[in-house]
Amino acid sequence: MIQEMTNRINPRELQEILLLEKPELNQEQQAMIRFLRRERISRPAVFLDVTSPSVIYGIDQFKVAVKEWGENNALDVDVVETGSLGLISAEPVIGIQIPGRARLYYGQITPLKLPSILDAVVRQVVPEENLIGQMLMASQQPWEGIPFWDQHPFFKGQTRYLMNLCGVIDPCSASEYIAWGGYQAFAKSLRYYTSQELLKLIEESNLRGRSGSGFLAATKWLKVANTPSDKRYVLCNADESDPGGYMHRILMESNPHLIIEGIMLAAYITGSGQAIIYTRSRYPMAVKRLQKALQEARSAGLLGSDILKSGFSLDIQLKRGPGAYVCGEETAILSSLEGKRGMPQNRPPYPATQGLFDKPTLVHNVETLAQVPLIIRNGPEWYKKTGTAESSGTKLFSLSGRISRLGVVEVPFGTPLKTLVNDFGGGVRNGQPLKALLLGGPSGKFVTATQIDTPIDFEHFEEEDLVMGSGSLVVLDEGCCPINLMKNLMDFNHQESCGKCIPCRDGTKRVLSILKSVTTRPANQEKFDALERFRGITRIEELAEVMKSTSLCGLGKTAANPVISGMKLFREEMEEHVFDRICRAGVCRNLRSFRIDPVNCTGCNICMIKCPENAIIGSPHKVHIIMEDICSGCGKCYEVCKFNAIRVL
Amino acid sequence: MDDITSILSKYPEGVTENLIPVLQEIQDSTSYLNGEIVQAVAAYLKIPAVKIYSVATFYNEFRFNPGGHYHIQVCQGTGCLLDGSEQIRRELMRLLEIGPGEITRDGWFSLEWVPCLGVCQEAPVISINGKIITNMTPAKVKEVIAQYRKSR
Repeated sequence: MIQEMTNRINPRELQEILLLEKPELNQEQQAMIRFLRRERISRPAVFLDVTSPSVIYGIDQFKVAVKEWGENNALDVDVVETGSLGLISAEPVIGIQIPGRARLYYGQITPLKLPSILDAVVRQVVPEENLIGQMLMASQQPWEGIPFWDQHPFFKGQTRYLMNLCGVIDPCSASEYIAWGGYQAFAKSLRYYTSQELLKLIEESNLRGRSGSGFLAATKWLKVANTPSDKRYVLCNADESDPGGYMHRILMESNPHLIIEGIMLAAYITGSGQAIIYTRSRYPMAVKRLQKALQEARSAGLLGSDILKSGFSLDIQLKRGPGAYVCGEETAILSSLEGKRGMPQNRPPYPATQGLFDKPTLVHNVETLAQVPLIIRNGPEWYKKTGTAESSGTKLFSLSGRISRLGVVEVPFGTPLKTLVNDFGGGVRNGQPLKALLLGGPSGKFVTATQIDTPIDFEHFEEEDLVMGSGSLVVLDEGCCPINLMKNLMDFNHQESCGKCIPCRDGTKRVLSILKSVTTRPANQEKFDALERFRGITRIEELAEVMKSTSLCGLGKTAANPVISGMKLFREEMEEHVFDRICRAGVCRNLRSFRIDPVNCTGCNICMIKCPENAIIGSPHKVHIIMEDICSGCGKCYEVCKFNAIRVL
Repeated sequence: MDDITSILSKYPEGVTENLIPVLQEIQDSTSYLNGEIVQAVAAYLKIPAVKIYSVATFYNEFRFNPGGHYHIQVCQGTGCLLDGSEQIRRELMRLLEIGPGEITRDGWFSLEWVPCLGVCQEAPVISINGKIITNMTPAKVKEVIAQYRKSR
């Protein structure tokens, strides 16, 4: 019977399963659920992680490898495309499952390695190379002596509520999501609860916005629900544009139905008949997955008019954001959706009372909305058990920069930052000491190694004057120059400033030019270059304060954050850049100075010929000399020298 | 021009809020926008053409040049930045003698800075016509460009 099933079941049956209590499922339905969860499979299956970090390894090649292997061994093999487990640095991650046994996850696999692993697994042997661990589901036999996947250092200690199905299910399939208990919260809410009752649950759960500021969600929801209007909107802000943040992308690509269910519930609770997901054009895979997931939800009868015969109608539209960082700001998104330039507006009126087309609009980001099904499914009491007294639930973080294990982690509030870096991330790459963390992307602040014990929650972050942002965490080691990073972040802010208000438009430009003068060395030190630099650096903090207090929207207000915190924390390095004109990390390439080692120099002339500034003198077969006052620090001589005679100072 | 009218006819006439989806769909099929297209859209949606320019130039996605035969995108993400994407950008600008958003005279290469491409584990990365090349170094940039130049 199992063979006859496909992993797409008909909508009516789905709805039946949705509205039934679990113990009442008949045997056939139970078998179907087991089939959809892939607890019971009849032939070997290979689970390919198909997300944007893994597609570069060539998914088609893996498919071909599996197919060839199947043909050689006269076996039918299922190939299932799944999302990502979150462990990005081990991509491509591949799951292998044979009937009756637990699923095995392998990382960093090549199409060449795959057949030999498949060979072994079919013979009931588990090769331990590249193994992440086994994932045991109900009615499966575990592999003996093989670690479980959640014992892997990256996963051990995570609380995966949002991420629990990422990398396990086919992301677009509504049936699979339902088999894992998805959409039940929505179906039951429609049938048994009024929106007021549900709103109370949200209020009790203490749900806070995950976009950084940590506002209580319920206040917004109440406002939207209580503003009299003929139409209301729910807007899911999926325009994740932080350089260095990718947790929402992984969630959208790996479990889009969770986000959709959250939007559905939010729409039902606030009484909105229309919802919009505003995601980025630059995330083509996330767009594709969300589109397909919406389609599946529609064909399962979970979207449209009179959903599950409750009288509630909802349509979710997917809009592609055409790429502007400022469109992460809630009023800017509204302008963009109305077909205008994505510029922020003055608040009040807040979108909750007067938003899209002047109708009340609930704006939340992906992560906040994805929490809603959990709260409704398990109740606010359960939800409040995780996290701290003031901040309940979990938070997604994306780890990037100089860290051993990159990826998306989900931790309960109250977890110290240290755990994120040292346990999940495996510490700084190559065992280097930690220099600092950058939390919150281009509008975030630096965290030094001394503050690393701070627990992640809104209270402690406020106390320590840190920014949580949307959850991007960048790790810096001694080889990174914070001044250069500050310059690049300011460059980003400057490019993305919408130009509406002067403090942001001109302030970012001024700060950028000051930072540029600090990190580069002009070819000649005459005129007022040096004076400009000194004057700029004494005024930079003042400028940052003005930007912070007078800008209209969040972008301008926070644009100077990295500079303000960086100036405090890296005073010494800043002074070295300004006065001594050296960069101790060697990143600000223009500040390097070079000297020729007379022992190694053979007088080959090559550096002299290649020097663009004509700063090297010497005659053939004699030791050459670099004239430091002419040298612009381009490093050309260093690159061309074959005798290792150029020393970087 | 025919496909533009067929795209336009999918949307109701004179509804300004559809401007961005219309432009996106047109650019998906033509790969860039020009004056003619803007005029057509302006007439259909009943928006002044100058307003359309103001919207289209605001967003990073829309472009008014056709893009090179090889469109090079360099990741701007922090992960790549820390691993030296700045040098990659500088090297590309030096080799191709163009800046971001520009196209070489022979129409062969165009250059663009884009936000995170999502391959942070192999930083720094660039993408040439959608093909992602990982672990870039200035020396590798030279090689890659030379390779693509040869293929003409």
